[in-house]
Amino acid sequence: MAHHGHEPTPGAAAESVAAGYELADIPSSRPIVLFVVAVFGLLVFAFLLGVVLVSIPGAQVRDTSHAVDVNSPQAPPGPRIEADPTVDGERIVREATERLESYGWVNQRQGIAHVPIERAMELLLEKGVRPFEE
Amino acid sequence: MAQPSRTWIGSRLARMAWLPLCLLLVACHVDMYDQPRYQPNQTSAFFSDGRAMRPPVENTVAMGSFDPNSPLLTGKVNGELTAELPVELTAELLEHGRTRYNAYCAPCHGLAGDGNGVIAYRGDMQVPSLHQDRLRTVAIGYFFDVITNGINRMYSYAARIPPEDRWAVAAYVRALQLSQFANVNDLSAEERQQLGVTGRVE
Amino acid sequence: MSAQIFPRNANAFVWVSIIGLVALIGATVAALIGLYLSPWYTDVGVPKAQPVPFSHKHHVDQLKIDCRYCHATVERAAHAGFPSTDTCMSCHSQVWTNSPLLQPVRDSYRTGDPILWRRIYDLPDFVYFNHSVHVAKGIGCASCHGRIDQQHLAAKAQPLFMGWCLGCHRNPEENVRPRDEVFNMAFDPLSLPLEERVQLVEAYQIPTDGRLTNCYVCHR
Repeated sequence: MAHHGHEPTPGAAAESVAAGYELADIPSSRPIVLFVVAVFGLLVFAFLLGVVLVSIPGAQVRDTSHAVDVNSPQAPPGPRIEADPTVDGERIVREATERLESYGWVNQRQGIAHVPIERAMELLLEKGVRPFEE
Repeated sequence: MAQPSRTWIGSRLARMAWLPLCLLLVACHVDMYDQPRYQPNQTSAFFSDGRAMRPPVENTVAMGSFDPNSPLLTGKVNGELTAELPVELTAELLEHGRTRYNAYCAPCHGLAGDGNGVIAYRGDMQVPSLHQDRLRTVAIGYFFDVITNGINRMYSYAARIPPEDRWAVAAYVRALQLSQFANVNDLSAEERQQLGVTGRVE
Repeated sequence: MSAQIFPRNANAFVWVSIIGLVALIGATVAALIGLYLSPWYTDVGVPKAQPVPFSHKHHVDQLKIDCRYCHATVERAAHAGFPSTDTCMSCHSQVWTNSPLLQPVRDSYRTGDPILWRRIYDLPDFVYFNHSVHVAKGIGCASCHGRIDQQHLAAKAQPLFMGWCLGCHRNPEENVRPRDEVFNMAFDPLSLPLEERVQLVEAYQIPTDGRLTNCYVCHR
């Protein structure tokens, strides 16, 4: 089998062959540098323009009365369906549980209090289950 | 004659070599998996109503010492609601009643017995509070009777709560009532102090 | 040159065929195992259409109804107890009384014909399973049924492979929880330190001498 090496293409300049690429395609680096500089210059100009525009007195939105406060979304007008049943259920359970774990007055004048259910169960063991007296 | 026949069989066998692969598809028999017996809630082609679980014949009673008039099963003594527990009142009974109450009663009556259960809230129902004079002064058998037979819009819970558990619930209802209607004079000195009372309250 | 019976690449063909055949068998076995473990076979996470689109999430998570309200025999019997129409109607005679979704329930209540629900968990008949003993020994509903309180339509949470059962029967301390947390779906047994769980295993008298892995424990 004959060896087929790569012959230099006729017409390529000797410098291009030496450099390994076609020098004629990139005559100079000036346009590239200019382009990069222009892009950065435009960025800085746009930033400065923004700063100037924002700092002009009176440019802010003054009347925010119609704006929606995203941090506290308003509920739609009632009557509403249950927005979050899980939360409602947990609230009801929590309220009842707190009631069953605390001391407090039911009727202070008659000396009637509510006591934690654990304590009531102890008291009931002493008292028995007979009906309450009037 | 035999020679071509043998090759014919041989090629037939070779061509059926894929058949064992079918075993992978049919996997196994299911007659151990689904044995010819009924499981709870299964359907049945044998009975005309389609149920494998047979409802007992009407007026069926348990064998043995079953007494349909015993206070344990009716909540009544000589036709009157009993004021005494037919079971022993213990801390375990109350604790057991508490779990039953919270599972079966609390959805409507509320964990605290005030009628503010989640279902009552959600269904917009008026559920009577257990903390009213009528129910505080009623005999304990009344609660057993209501659980057993239902009342007004409340269905019977007899199918779900066995009689002994119903008494536990009834006793716990009394404890609930007491927790919301405790006489300050029954409380300890520390508890009275917590409520801001020093001496006896008349 | 002498005549070649096989072309040069015949050697390569042989090797490719051998390796390919082994790979094919391996891939087929792997695919079958994958199929066996997949929801296509196990139904895990695949809800079934039911006569009434009952939502556990609504009833358990939102309405805070205890498991035992409907599955009433779970503490007393092998079978957890499937709610009768009467149980549904103890609320739905008051709530959602006109909902077309509940028409099958009302029909069933009126006629006495049972509602035909479709079974989600179907253990083989050669496996004996008892709900009450698991509940009594502090194994929570969620350990097998997953977070069913978060499912709108019920689906299997576990394929119920035997190895999975044995995993817990070998190491019950991985799943045991206090008895009063059994019906709490949100409770995570692993939130307790290992020593406490080991104490629970001891307190609930769960055998740890290997008895629980005997064949006859489940196959009888």
